[in-house]
Amino acid sequence: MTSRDLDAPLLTTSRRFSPRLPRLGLVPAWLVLIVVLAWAVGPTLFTGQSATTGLPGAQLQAPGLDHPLGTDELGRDLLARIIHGARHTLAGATVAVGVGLLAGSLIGLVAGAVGGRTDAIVMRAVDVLLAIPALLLSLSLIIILGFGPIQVALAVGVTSVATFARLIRSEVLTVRQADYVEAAFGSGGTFARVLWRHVLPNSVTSVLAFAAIQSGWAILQISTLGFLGYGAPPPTPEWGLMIAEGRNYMTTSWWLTLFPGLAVIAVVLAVNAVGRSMLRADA
Amino acid sequence: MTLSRPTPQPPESGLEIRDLSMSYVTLGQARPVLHGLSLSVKPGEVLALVGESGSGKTTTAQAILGLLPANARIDGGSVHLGQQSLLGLSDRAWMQLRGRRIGLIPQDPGSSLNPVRTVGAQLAEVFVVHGLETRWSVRERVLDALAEVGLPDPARHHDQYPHELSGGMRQRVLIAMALALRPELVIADEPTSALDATVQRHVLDMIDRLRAERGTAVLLVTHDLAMAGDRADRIAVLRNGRLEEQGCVTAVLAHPVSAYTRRLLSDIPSLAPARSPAILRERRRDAAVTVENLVQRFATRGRGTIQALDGVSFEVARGTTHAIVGESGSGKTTAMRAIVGLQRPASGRILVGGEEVTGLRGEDLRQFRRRVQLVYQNPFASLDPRQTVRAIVEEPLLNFDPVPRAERERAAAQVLERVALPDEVWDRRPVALSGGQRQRVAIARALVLKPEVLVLDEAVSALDVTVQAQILRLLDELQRDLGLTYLFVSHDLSVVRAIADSVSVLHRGRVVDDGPAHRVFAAPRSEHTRALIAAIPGGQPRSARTLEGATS
Amino acid sequence: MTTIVLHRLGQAVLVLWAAFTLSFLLVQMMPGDAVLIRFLDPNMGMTPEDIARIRAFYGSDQPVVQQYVFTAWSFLRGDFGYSVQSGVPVWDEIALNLPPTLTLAGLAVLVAGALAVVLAWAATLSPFGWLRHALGALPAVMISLPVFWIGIMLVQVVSFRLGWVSVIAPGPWERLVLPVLTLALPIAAPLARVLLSSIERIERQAFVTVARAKGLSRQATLWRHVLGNAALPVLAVGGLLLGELVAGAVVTETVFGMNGLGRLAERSVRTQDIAVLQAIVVISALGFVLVNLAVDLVSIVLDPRIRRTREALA
Repeated sequence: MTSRDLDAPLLTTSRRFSPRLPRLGLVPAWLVLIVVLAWAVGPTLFTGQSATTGLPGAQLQAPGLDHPLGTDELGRDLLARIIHGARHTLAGATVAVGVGLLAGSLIGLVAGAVGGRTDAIVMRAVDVLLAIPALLLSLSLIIILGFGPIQVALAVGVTSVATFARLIRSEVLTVRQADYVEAAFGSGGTFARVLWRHVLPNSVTSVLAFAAIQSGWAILQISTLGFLGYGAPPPTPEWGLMIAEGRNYMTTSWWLTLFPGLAVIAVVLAVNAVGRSMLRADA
Repeated sequence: MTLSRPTPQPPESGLEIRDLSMSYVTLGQARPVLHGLSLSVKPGEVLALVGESGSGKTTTAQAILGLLPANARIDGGSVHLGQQSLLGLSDRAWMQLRGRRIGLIPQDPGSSLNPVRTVGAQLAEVFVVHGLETRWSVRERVLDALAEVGLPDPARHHDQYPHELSGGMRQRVLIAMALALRPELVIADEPTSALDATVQRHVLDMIDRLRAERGTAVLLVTHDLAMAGDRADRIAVLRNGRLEEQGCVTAVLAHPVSAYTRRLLSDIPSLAPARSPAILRERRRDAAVTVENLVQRFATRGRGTIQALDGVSFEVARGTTHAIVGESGSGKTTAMRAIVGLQRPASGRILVGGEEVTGLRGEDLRQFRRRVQLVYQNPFASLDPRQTVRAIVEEPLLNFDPVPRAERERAAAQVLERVALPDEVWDRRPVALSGGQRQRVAIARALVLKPEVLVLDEAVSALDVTVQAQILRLLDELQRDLGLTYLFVSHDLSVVRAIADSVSVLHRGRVVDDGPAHRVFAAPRSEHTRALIAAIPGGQPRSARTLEGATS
Repeated sequence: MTTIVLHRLGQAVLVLWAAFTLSFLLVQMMPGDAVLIRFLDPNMGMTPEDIARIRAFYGSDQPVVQQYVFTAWSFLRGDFGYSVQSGVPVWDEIALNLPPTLTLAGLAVLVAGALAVVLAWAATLSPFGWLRHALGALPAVMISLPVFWIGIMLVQVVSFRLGWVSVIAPGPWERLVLPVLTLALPIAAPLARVLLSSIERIERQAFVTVARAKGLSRQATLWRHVLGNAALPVLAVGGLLLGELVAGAVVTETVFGMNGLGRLAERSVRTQDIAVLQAIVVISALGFVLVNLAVDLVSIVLDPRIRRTREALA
C-alpha cells in the first residue's frame, strides 16, 4: 500500500556499506564529550594537582602510579594540565563557532531569502573569502588583533563565516523550494509564519549538526595556532601549546607530545561523530 | 492430494522457476520476500509479472540476473534457463550468461546509461566483453544494432553522449544493448514507466517486434495490469511474495480467479467506465474558473526565451471536473501554477468566481488562497515532516480565522473524518503514514478552508492503482457532497477519462483539443490527442496489436 | 568551449582583485602601521624625522586611495614592497622560499593522491566486511588529526624509535620523506573520503547494473564506468584542498624547521611583517584561482554534460 516512490527499482542493488559508523559508535563519542565538558566546568573535581606549578624533584617523570600520564620539565602533572586545558579548548571552540554561526547565518539567511542580485554579490564575496587559505586568513587577523586566546578564537571564527554563510544559504534554498513550504504559503501562511513554523524547524538540525562538525575543525585550528605560539602564553595549559613545549623533550619524554595530541583527537573525533549522526538522522 | 508429483525435468529452453523462496537478512533477522514462487516463460512468449510495490517482483527479476543485494538469501527452489541452473553460479559463469543469454531492459533510461561515455562505446562493450568482436572491429555491429532499433542516424548517435538523446531514444539504445547478442531471455523491468505515453507505445511495440522476429522469451515486470493485458501472452499476479494467479491473458482478465486480481482489475482507471456525461447536464453552468489567452515565457540563460504557454484559454463550470492533459513540457504545470497564484503569467486573464487573479499581491493574494487550494503530486514532499497530521490540517485555519482551539480541533477532526482517515493516525507524523494516507491528509488540508476550487496536480500519479482508485472515489464523493470544482492536471489519460467532465489537451503550450470529455475521447480533433488516446494501455486487444506492431 | 574558458578566466580575475582588496583593507586596519611597530622601539634611537622619512619611503604617509592604487599597480608588476623586518624586497624573500615549498607541496599532493586511490580501492574491493568498514572509517579519523602532531609523531616513531630516517644528517631526499608524509595525510583524508563516497553512490546507479547485466565483472565495471564518474567530485574537492595544503605547509615547515613560504608566513606573523604576509596571501589566492581554473578545465574535458550544455547556453 505504499506509494511508488518507495518502490525499489531493480537497479538499486548493492548496499554493501550500511551506516559507516555503527550506532554504538556514538556512545563513546558522547562519553568523551561529557567527560571533557565536566573537566572544563570543574577541573578540580578530577585532579588535586596544579596545572601551573610543578612539584620540585618530579621533573620529566614517565607515566606511573603517581602521575598517570607523567610530568613535564617543571614537574607539573600532565593529566592535571590536560584536565585544566579542556576549558581553554572548549571555550575557544565555542567563541569561534559562535562568531561563525552568528555572522554566517545572518549573511546566508539574507542571501538565500532575498535572492537576486543581493544573493549574487554576497555569494561572490563568500567565494573570495573561501579562495584565501583559512590559516592565512587567521594569521592576517592575528597580526592585526595581536596574540592571545580570545584573538585566536575570533580569528578562527571569522574564517568560518564564509563556510557557514554558504551552508545556511543552501539550506534556506532547499527548504524554501520544498513543496510543503509552498503548500504552507498556499494555505494562507504569511512570510513570517511560514519561516517560523516550517523553514526554521526544518533547517535547524542540519545547521546544528554542521556547527558541531565545524567546532571540531575550530578545535584543530585553535590548537594549531596555539602550537605556533599565537594563543595563550605559557604557563597556560592549552593543549596545542603543551605539544609545542613538549617538542623540546621529544627524544626523552614522548608522553609530553603524545597525550595532549590524543586529547585533541578524541574531542575532534567525538564532535565529528555526533555531528555526522545528526546529519544522517536529518536526511 | 496424496498423489506424489513427478519430479519436474528442467525445460529444453526458456525460463523455469520452481518453488523459489527467498528472504532478506538484516541484522540477523530474516524477512521472507518470496514464498514458493513458480513460473515459466517459453521462447517467443511474453510473461507479465504484475504486482504492486513490495510484492517481490523486483526481487524475482534480480534473482534471475544474479544481481541480488548482498543480504538476500535463497531459501529453496530452483531457477533454470534451459538446462542451466541459475542458482549458486560462480561470478565467471554469471558473466558469460548475462548479456549473452539474459538481457535486461531497465526501468529508467535517464539513469541507465553512463553519462560520461558515448552511446556507441557503451553498446560496443556487449560485443567486446563476450569476445565476439575486438574494440577495433566492433563499429559495424554497433551501427547495425542502433539501426535495428530504429534510431534515425546511427552514425551520428554512435558518437553522442546519453544526455544528447531523448528519453525514448535512450530506451531504444538500451533495448539494442539488451538484445544485441540475441539472448534467449529478456527481462524488461517497468521498461516504459519513465516515458511519455506516446513514446511508451513505440518502445513497447519495438520490444514486441524484436521478440516476434527472434523468438526471445520476455519477462515483463510491471505494476500496470492494463499494460500487461495489452502486451503479454500470459500474466502472473504477485502479491506479498506469493503468486495470486497465473494464466493466459484472456483468462486472467476475463475470469480472474483470485479476489485480489479482481480488485486490481476493477481499480484500473482505463478499464473502468468513463464518467457519464449525464452528470454534466444536471449541474449549474456558471463558470468557476475562466482562463483567457494565457501567455507565459521563461528566459533561458543567454539564448532567448521559451514559450511555455501560448494563448491558453478554457472555462470550468462550477461543480465539474476539468482536466488539463499533456506530456512533460506541454505547459500544463505552468498553467496550473498561474491559476493558483504561484506564478504571474506574462499576459492573459484568470478569473476565479469572477475575481481576477493575475493582478493580486500581498494580503489580497493571501485571502484569495482560501478559495483555490492545491493538492500536490508527491504527498511525501508536500507535508512538513515535523508536523503531526492534526497540526497539518489545523494550520490553514490558524492562518485565517483566529477561532478558539476547541473549535479549530473540531473543524480539523470533521475534515479528517470526511477523508476517511482513521483517528489512530491523527497524531502521527507523515513518515508513519502510507502514500494513500498522506494524500488524504493533503486533501484534508486543502478542504479545511472550504475552498471553491481544488487544483489537483497529478494528485494520484504517485500512488499504486488500488490506492489510486480509492482516492479517485473519495474525490468523486467530495465533489458530489460539497459541490467542489476540480481542476485536474495529469499526463494520464486513463485517469482523466475516469474523472473528468471536460478536458483541455495541451501540447507545446497550446490547447490542441478541448471540450466535453466524452467528445474528446470519442472524436479527438488533433493528431496529438489521437496519439495520446491510442497510447492508453488496456485499449487494444493483443491480436490487433501484433499485426500493427509488425507493420509499423 | 572558448566562451566557458573566457568566462572562468573573468571570474578568476575578479576573485583575485577582491582578494587583493581584502588583504589591503586588513593592512589598513593595523593599529598604527608596520613601520611604527618596527622603528618606534626607543632602543633604536630614531628621531621622529627619521621615522617620517622611512614612512615616506614605504609609502605609508599617502592617502588610502593613493596607497591602494599604488599598491595594486606594484603588485601587478610583481613588486610587493619591502620587508620591514629584513629590509629586502618582499619579492626576493618569496623567490627564495617558493621553490622548496613547491617541491614539498607537489610531492605531498602526489603521495596524497596515491594514498587516497589505494585506500578507496582497498575499501571498495576488500573481500572482508570488517576490513571494508575499517578502511572506510579511516578518512574520518585522518581528518581529525592535527597536522603538527602528525609530524611530531612521525619523527618520534620513524626517526627516534625505528631509526629509519636519520635526523642528524639526512640526505636531500631523505630530509623530505617525513615532511611530505606529514603534509600528505591531511590532504589524502578528504580525497579518500570523497572518492569512497562517490564510488559508493555511483555503484548504486542504474547504469552500473546495466553494465553488470551486459556481462562485465565488478572490477571491469569499476574501472570503465564508476571511476570516470567518481573522479569528477574528487577533482572538485581536490581544487578546494589548496587551502589545506598551504596551512599544512606553514605547520610542516615550522615543525621540521625547513625553509619555505609557510615558515616565512609564520615568521612574518611573529615579527608583524605585514607586507610579507600580504604578499603570501595574494600569491595563495592566485594559486587557488589557477588550480581551480585548471580543475574546471579538466572537468569540462572529462564530463561531456558540462561541455555541451554550457556551450549551448553560452
